[in-house]
Amino acid sequence: MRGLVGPVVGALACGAVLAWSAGSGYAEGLVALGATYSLLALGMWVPFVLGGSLSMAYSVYLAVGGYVVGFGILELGWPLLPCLLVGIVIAVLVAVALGAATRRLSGFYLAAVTLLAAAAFEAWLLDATGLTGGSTGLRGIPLTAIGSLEITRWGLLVTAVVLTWVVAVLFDRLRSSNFGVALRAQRHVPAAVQASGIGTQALSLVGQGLGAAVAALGGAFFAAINSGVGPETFTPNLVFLAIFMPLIGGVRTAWGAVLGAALVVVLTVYVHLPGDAGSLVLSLAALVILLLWPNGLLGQLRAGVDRLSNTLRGGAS
Amino acid sequence: MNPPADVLLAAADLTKSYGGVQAVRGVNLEVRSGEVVGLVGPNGAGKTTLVDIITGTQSADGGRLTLAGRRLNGSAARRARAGLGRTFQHPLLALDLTVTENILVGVAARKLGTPWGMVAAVFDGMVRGVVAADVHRAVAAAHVMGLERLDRPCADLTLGEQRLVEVARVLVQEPRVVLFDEPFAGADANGVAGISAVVEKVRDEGRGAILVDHNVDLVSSLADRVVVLDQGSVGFSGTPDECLASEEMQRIYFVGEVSREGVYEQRG
Repeated sequence: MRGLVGPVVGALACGAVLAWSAGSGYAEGLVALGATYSLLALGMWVPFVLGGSLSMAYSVYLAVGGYVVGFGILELGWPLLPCLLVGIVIAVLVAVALGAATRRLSGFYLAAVTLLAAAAFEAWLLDATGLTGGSTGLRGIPLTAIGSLEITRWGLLVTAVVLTWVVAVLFDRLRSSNFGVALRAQRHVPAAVQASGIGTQALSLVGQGLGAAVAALGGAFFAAINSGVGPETFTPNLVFLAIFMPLIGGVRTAWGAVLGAALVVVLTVYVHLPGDAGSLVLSLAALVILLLWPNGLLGQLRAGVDRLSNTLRGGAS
Repeated sequence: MNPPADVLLAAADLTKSYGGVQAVRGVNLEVRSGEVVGLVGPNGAGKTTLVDIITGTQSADGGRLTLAGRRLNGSAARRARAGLGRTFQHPLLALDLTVTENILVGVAARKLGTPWGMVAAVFDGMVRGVVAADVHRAVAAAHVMGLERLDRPCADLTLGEQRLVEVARVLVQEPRVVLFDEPFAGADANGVAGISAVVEKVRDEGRGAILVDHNVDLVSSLADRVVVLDQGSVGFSGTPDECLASEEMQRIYFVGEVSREGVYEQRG
């Protein structure tokens, strides 16, 4: 029964957000950003929160997803669906290659090297004008049809939100599965996981590939919904924000990443605070939450519900 | 020359050095089907290093290993998949995972043995979540070890209980040979009885075991054969009775004890 709470509340929240945004271009843009941030945070959630591997290259995977959609539709005349799939495959290949190259690194060194890779990729996006459009990026990506089905911006937005819900549900199940348990264990005791017969490097690579696939999906939808992508769209700064999303929302469930992403969008974009006060408020909120509630908002909520339930049970008996 | 057919694990001329110090010197060791080999020796004799290089946790400098007649090499994960199971001198458990989840790692190992198996497990895990049959196996292994309240995080367990969880994690892998590295340290009387019963069960099922511990009496009561390591090499090998009566054994242990009291200068 408890396992249904996340999916049901998540579905209600997704429905409410879509209903709120309907008809307003600004609100639809916010929801598109929220879905993209959520998919990025969910993508990082598997290798980072479950596996303890902090790669900073997620801006690369977002951009791969976005640029493949732009190039595929604008230059090759492909429909959206193959572009999505090709973007995901390329992002997974890049993640596995980068993960294999950095397999002996962890912690600060892994973060530093992958950050360097992300910076190099950003520079390449500016240089490779034939593929990426250089500093202007790829603009005016048209909405294509899937067969006889016309795609609208609203339809893409609904699909992105539904996909976010689906990924959160699937990842929440993954956490308690054989793969999820092994990934969480190798974070703390890799030698024991190895001694059980599980190759920890391969385990980590599969987690990174999965995360890259979901991030690429987010980038692809963002580019399609906003009809464009550029080198400034997915910068490494975004990945810094994404690190805090699951930490704020809650680390014990994939819904924590989604909640954290929503809070980031609200605090940094929706709420009009003077100057860059939104980022300051976000930083302070993250600090307070990490100090007081290390399991994040949803972790604290669950602990409160458990306490209340125990109190009520005690009172009844 | 190939070892006899009933030999499960055969180590020949294993060596390991750290800088100028030889921790393991040309050790030969065999474990037969249905046999428990006790491995004893004073602190620093090389017992854990020997376990580490057999299981692949550390690489050996030289020597040859076979398991059921087949060459045993590669990573620790590969050797575990070939049929080696081990516990650690200090229990290695993910402390924020529950008892069931820690044991589930051993159950999951069968499905996560290859990268493709892992990819399949990702899709299976996203669709089905945790598999009830796997949880039942983990719970059954925990009950064999006398563990209760399996939803507790392992951080809440005593050292003795943590050892029992580790042994349960090894049991569910159904290894052909189990290397127990000081499994009784920190265990209470119930824990010692539980682990002893597991060692005997391993023997009764026709598998093999290496039992490493300081407690010679305890090891002798469980082992079919005792090997005494002395400064990285085999100082004595024989039955438990022969071991307890052996002058060589007394010398190794007596000198070891005296050495810990600081009489090394007398030997120089």
